Amino acid sequence: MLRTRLASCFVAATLLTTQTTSADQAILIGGGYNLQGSQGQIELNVRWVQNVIKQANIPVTTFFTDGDAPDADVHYYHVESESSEASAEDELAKQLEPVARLFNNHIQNQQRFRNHQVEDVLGSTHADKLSTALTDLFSSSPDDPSLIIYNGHGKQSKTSVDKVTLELWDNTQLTAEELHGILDHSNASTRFVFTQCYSGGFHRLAYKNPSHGQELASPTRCGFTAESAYRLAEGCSASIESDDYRDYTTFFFAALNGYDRDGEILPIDTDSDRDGVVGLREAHLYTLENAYSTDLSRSTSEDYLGAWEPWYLKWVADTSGLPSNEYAKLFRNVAHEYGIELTGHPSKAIRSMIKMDGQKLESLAARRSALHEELSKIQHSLISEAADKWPALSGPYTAAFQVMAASGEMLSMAQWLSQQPDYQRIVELQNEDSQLSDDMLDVERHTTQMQKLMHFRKLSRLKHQLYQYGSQSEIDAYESLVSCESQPLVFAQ
Amino acid sequence: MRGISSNMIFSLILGLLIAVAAWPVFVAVNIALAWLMGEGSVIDLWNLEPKRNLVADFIYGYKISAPIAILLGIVAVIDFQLLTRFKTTGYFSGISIILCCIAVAFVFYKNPTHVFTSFVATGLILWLVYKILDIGCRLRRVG
Repeated sequence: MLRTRLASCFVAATLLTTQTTSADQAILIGGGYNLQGSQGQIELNVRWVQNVIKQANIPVTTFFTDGDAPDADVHYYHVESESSEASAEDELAKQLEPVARLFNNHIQNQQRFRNHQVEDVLGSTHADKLSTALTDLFSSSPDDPSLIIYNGHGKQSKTSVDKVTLELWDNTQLTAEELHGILDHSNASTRFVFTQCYSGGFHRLAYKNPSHGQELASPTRCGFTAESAYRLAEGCSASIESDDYRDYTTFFFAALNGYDRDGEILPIDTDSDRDGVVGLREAHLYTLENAYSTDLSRSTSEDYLGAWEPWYLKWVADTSGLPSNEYAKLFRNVAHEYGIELTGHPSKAIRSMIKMDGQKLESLAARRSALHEELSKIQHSLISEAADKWPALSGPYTAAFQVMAASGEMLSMAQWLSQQPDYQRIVELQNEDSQLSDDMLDVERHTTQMQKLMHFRKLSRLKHQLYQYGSQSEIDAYESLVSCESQPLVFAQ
Repeated sequence: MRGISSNMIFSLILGLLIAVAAWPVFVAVNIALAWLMGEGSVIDLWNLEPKRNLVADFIYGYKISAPIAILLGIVAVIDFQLLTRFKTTGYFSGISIILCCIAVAFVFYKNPTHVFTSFVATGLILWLVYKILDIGCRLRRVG
């Protein structure tokens, strides 16, 4: 334990003391597409990542939501705590909680808005402004290797993976194809870390043609995404508590930093090859093994393996054992963690666990559906009773409602509601609903761990098959991606 | 004359059927083998990839394997013409389909032993298709 901690300290120290060359730059892009889509977690992630990069002495250019505009561009959820003093809004929210619960607005009742607290923001992430800024940045220093990090939201494309988007401020979008065009202004290597939903489509940045083909762009581009081009990513939960952060950013940058978000030294040495520096690939492999989340993350070299797989291998039931490589090791480690026996038929055990998870999800969904029905009935009945006493309640966007609210009647209503026998049942059901939601997420996370095992097996085989069946140019392309991914945070010259 | 034309029609049907069935049979056999042997890679695809991608890959495999499937169809027709004429050779009719499938495994794969079972099983299923048609053809002749 002490050894791994010391090793982690050493890695962190190395990372912090590494002399940066002027050729390195980091571009940090973050925030939601509008106020409702701009969660506090994204902001915290951006601030933390910015700090990690700054500690590594890499110049970082940050773009966040509306830039320096003073308007509110982040929302978060107020969590009651003894240490912090409650504001007037928090007090009022507490008093109005029964009304909010009656109308299922109890979560919004805790929602607060404010301007972001990210430092050194160069500009907005509005798609047009960001595109221009990035083009200028790459054109002015075309020979500087860069690391692009995006923390925000993304959207799927049903037509083509290169049409997946970054959902940027003011409801604007930037597709992978468009970003590919912007990167063409750079003559240097580019690495990226994208953690949004459907981020896997951005691996097409690494290819010469963003829409199709296997030929890689030159110079090499590589990166890491939280998800494939077809799945939602973990993260973006609006909780501002950092204890439950399980998104890709949290694990990936903790592995690079040697410390987790709470400043604790990681219990595992992330420098797996013991060369004294943690490469991005090592951080990725650490994340794959240790993140208990719904993310099925991947790197560009892994994406390349999937794209390379020949048609005559894809459908073959390979009866050989797992080859010896890093993915087989990950498979064994994660399987061991979840009690899956490697002797016999691990695939059957994995599929059986996924099936059990599916049954658990069905049962939780059924309970939730029954709960919603009961809740709706009680709420409906209480709303009718309340509407008899406060007729303006039935028209929430009317003058009568405004008069009622201004006269303080809402507080009287909240007091009346809290004394109703059914109100306590509403609270119980809503709390249970919240618990069920957490339970369902947990089951989904467990299912993802099983899918991860399948993914590791697949990658392990694919890597082996590439060296058996691939042409020399395909092997060279794969190795160039692995080499690009293996570089530390500061690009080696 | 009538016998020759019906023989040609049967040959055509046989060749077409083997060519059309080769790829789906190959995929189905691999899924079944993966299931029976507890090996997961083919079945895992359903959990790892969007269904529309799998369908697209299946269709792509269908198209690109067409020359091999057509070759199998031609082999089946030649086998049918040569081996079903006499009772003695009739016992071995269709065997060239299985042999051809095994040959494909040895030509295309660096480690044919790993995929040997899949190709033998594919050959056997296609042989069954061949035999059903062959028996149908004989019954028609007798009728």
